[in-house]
Amino acid sequence: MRQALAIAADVRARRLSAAAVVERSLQALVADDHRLGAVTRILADRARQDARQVDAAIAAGRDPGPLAGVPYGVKDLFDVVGLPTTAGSTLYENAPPALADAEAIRRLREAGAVLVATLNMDEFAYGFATINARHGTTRNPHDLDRLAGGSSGGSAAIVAAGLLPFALGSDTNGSIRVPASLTGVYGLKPTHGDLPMSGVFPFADSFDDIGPFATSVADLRCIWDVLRGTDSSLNTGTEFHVAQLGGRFLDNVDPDQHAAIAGVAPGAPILDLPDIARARSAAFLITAYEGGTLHRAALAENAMAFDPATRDRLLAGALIPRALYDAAQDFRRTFKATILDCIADHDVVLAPAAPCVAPAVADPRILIDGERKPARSDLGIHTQPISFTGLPSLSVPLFRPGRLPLGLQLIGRPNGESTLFRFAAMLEERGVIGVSPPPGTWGEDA
Amino acid sequence: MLLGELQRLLRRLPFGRVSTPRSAPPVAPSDDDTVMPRTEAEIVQAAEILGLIVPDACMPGVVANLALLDTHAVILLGRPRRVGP
Repeated sequence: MRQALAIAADVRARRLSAAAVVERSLQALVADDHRLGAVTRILADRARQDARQVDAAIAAGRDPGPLAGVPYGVKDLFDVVGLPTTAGSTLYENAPPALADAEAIRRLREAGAVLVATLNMDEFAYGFATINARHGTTRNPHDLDRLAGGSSGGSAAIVAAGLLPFALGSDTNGSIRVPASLTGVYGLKPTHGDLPMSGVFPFADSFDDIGPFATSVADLRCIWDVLRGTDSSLNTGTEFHVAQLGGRFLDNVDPDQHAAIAGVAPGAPILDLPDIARARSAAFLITAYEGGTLHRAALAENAMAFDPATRDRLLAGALIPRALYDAAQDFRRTFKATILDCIADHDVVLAPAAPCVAPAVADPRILIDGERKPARSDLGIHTQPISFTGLPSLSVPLFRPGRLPLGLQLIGRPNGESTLFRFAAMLEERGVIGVSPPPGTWGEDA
Repeated sequence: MLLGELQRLLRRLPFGRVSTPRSAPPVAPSDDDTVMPRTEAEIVQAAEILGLIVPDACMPGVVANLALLDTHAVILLGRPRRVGP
């Protein structure tokens, strides 16, 4: 699968039809999916109809949009008209069908993109593993014996495998950035609240955001512009004040990430942000409380219908005392103000995205502070404190062909996404970051 | 004001490790309000108040998860918590 903008350019110039692109994409998904466990539903009829409309628009001389004929998928928590929104759970398999597409899907459709599939996730987005009782475990295309990360693991894996040029996920505590890091693609968690959440199944309102996965900075920026309704290409500065995060961010880091950060910004000041451990703990508590509260009625009705991997966590979250939740929220307000002041003079702050390469499916644990911890809950050690601040964070893949992927976070000021894109584009041009296709997974063309 | 400006200048220096002030003193609501249910009896009681029944099959997992959440509560509140029922 080629990159999104290359496909759109060919479709717009009539070198390819949207119908042909989508047909090949559907065939590839059918042929490959059981290997990855990334797809939950293939939307063949809808995709073919949308592709025909794109081709008809072009034939009639109308502008089909910047993503003309580009196939994509969404995490299984976006409303798709006519289908139940399951959030990866059997509990909602027979829910009433959505009456309209999620706003993000509507905007992408207007831009010519063609939705072809819904994608696997941890049930209700609660986890960093994409181990799902209903749909199975999503495998990492770089090594099928390893996890793809989560909770947007299906979205990351399908893009990393070259089966789709982009996908949408959601990120509450790192659910875009962690799987992006583990599968070696780009993933954006935008400034909190910046992209439309209408028609997206919630997890924890305090931190929920949606965002795209893609295989190039240019693709990611274009998708973000479409989702946001802006044109970030007008932002053209090339001077960056860069810093890196110290403290816990350097305690649990792969040596290659450390070396890459030093290489990207030699001499960049190290920011020892205060109270990072407290921030992660507060985020953990807020997420558990909001998730438990959201599902409390369903838990009361039939807790055993939940995925075994999430039900105990949700039940525990529902039992957190309200006063503790309020204390965590009070701390969050103070912490945010402090962090904004700390990073005020920096355009980009560098940090690891996940603390390690993808863990094994057979032993989903990772080393944190010298102890083996569950990947499901702890892969987000470096992303969770950033979500807590609401700042935008772009996960970028270090360019390391033939090796398991590792990612960095480029963290920006509020609404500083276009600066992050420019910085990432510079690193991509230098060959520091970039997607390394898994062996034998990417076809020659669309 | 002057201190803030100085910190900003320091952050721009190459090779500088910038120590930043702690963001906030530990939050301190009263112990009773924030204590997590930990024993099976406490969990059953807290669940009943919310209209929940914790199935037997879930109890070990709920106990383990509440223990984990309690470690986060200790970190957040910055003080030791009571141990045992």
